[in-house]
Amino acid sequence: MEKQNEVVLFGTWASAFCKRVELALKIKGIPYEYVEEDLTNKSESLLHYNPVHKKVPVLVHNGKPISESLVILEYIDECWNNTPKLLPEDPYQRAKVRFWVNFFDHQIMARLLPIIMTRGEEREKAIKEFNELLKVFEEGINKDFPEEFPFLEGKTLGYLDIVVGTALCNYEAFHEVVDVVFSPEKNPVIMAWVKALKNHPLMKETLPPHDKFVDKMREKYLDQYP
Amino acid sequence: MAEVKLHGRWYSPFLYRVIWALKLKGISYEYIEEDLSNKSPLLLQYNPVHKKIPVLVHSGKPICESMIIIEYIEEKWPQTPLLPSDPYERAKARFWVKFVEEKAPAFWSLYRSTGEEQKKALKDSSETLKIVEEQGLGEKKFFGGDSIGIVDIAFGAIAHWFGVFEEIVEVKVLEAHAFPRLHAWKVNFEEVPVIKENLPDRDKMLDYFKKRRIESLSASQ
Repeated sequence: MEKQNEVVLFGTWASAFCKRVELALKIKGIPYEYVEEDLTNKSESLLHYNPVHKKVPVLVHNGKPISESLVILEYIDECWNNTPKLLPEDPYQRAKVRFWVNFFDHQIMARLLPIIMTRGEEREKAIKEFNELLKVFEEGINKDFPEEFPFLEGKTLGYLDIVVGTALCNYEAFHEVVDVVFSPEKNPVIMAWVKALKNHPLMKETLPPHDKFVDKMREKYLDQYP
Repeated sequence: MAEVKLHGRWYSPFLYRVIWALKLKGISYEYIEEDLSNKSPLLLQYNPVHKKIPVLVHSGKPICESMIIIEYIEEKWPQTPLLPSDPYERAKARFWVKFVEEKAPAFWSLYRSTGEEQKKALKDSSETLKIVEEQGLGEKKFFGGDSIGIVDIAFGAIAHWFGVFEEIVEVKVLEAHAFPRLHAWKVNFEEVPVIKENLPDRDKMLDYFKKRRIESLSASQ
């Protein structure tokens, strides 16, 4: 039988990084097989396909593995060179998108753990810093993509939508388990964007169910930082 | 021809990554030295978020973050490609660039710290070198194959500066007997004409980083 485009995604259901890849595959209409990994008992396949990090997500395309969610997203965009494109065509726009995704991952998301790990005044300080960074992000996005904000209204999801959406659309779970950190008063632009993303059919289809996710977060965070 | 400007600081490895990319592709640019203790209004305007160098400014449009700048350069000026053309090989290259970026702090930590923290940095940087040598480089001459590419540039900056750090803290990590292929790679990398001709003065660097280390260690006491 002729070898089709064989795409396998190794992931875990609660991981935003894995959801990024799933969403990208769905946006592009790429059929794939999904393999749920138990990270306490990693499969031989996962260890073989990602020997350096032994982490998910890993995309295996016709037997060849690609690791690191953002690397996978760029690979998907280049390999399946059809519309819709995940990244802009123009090199300067691409540089800006990559800059903001980098900022989001390394500056913003890195601030969630300090919130989870602290209490009282320390936590309040951590939340304040988080909101300020979100503000920097909001202002930056507004400045760099003046035509496109908010991103949706009949447009397809792009690289930034994927990264922000999979990280923040389940924010209510974070509020329930940890603390209220997102508010339309403090970060109106982000909240409007997240609200629009939450309503996108592909995002709805991809995100983990709220209750299940809440239980997972409790298990993950409260058990570690009671 | 559109104008290209590069804002940098003479001792920065991140700056040199961009210089190497520009030189390899034969792109003319104007270099602007920044005083990081007294940042120019232009730098603050071009990089308001991080206020750091390098910043590439192309026809007045700023791009920040060294590896993002290099991807931009690669897309705008396709001659002497730094990335392979095959998407899978490109993904592998980007994987190793990300790996190097993630692990770089340990190399700086070896230089910046003392005692237990330094011991940990030594362990971490050795482990990184082992993985890079065995799984990244393998049997190849360069990460890019027969000629240098984006991973060589990304890692090359770390490795070259690391050599200076090793000398200052009197700890040798990237040694020929421990990492034969990586050591050979480093020698070959620094022999590539564009690299050889574009490295900051080593004595000046030793002097600068030695002073900085003394200052920062005494400040933290």
